[in-house]
Amino acid sequence: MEKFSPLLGLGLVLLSGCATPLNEQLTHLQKATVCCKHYNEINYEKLNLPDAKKVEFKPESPAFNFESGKSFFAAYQLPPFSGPYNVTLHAYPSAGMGDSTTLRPKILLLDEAFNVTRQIDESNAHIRNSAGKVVMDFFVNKSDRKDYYIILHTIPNRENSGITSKVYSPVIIPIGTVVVPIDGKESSRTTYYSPMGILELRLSPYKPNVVGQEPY
Amino acid sequence: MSKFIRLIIIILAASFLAACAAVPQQTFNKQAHAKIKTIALIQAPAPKEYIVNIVHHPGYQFGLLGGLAAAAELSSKTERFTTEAKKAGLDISKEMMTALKTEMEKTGYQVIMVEQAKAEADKAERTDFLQDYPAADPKPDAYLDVVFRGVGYSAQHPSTPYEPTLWMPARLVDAQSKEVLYSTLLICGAPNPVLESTHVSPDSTYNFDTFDSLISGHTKAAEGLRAAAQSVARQIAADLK
Repeated sequence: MEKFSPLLGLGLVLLSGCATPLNEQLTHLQKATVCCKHYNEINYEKLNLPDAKKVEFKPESPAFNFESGKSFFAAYQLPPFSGPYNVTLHAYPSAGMGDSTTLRPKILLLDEAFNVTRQIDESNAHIRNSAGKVVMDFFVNKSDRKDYYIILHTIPNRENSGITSKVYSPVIIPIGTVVVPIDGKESSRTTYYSPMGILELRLSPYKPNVVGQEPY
Repeated sequence: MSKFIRLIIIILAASFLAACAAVPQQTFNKQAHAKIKTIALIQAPAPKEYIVNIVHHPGYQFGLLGGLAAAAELSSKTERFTTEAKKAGLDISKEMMTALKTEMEKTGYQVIMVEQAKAEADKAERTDFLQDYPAADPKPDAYLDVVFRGVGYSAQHPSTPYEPTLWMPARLVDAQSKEVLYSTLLICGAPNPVLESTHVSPDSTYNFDTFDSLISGHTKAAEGLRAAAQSVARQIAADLK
């Protein structure tokens, strides 16, 4: 299994510092060739349990016209069902010289005949925040054993939508050789939804910890 | 360094570490635990004080003395606000328990309230989960354990508004297997840049531009913390749906 350490996480964030400006990302998506017309024409990479994959949506990534709109995507074949498991998706923000952007992921689950069985997004997954990234997770249970394929894509950015949050800019003064923040100003900043960026997909068997045996 | 200063540093460091301790994350798998119908809600110990905090206090930049001065200022503000909030009748533990019971029942659970024993309540403020859970009648399927890890008003800088802030680790423990079925740190207020948490947006109508307006508007400020408790309770119930 490919393991993701905090160091790798930090690396991903640092890498994402070289982000492409949003308008360029949108142009890349617009120009991207659609790989196929139907889900059964897509190549699906096999996943194991446990497993972890880093996915980068970039100009060379395959694109598809989803119901929600055109998007880069990554597609996998889920492991054979042997018990409930947890699927976690980490969406990293990117902040370069241009706008701060983040992916707005959507997950499609398909059965063996390529029919959509479930659609997972921010409205029905459990969402957590961690160091600027968004973590969404859900389960594949016995009743979902028909889920056979998983496709990760993004919800397109319409009308420059994004996540608006408050930012605090410190007011600083130099005292001798030291620069001291003495106060700050509050303003709003929007992290725009973007078609390109980095996702991490993790699959792990569902096995809750027992009290006193938590990892930390 | 005098023993007194050393003691102050140890106390400050311990408080910061306690507030910043990570909470293991476990999403609730409702389908795998459909048998859970009755939940014992363990009464969260009431916080001893309602905090007033300035996250980036300039004093922190001036070494130990600056840090101590900032700590003294915030401690004084905390003491004053606590007095005013209590005068306004705020009992956040009671508010939270009522809100949680209501929201969990709306979700379809039967909720048994388990009050904290007086001896336990008199002990030092508990900011972490229990390791053993008390018996309850009727026998619950799971325990919902919530604790306050900071309730009050927090500003990012001296000139930015104070907003309602409530940090609450929460977990659901299977009564039989003692498995942790749900665990997260809920933060109502500014998200923490480091800790993984479930964020609950505070209602900005309860923001206060200055400490003086927070004190003079203590009735509204108390209402803001009640609203924060209700939002956090709704989020927990939604997570357990």
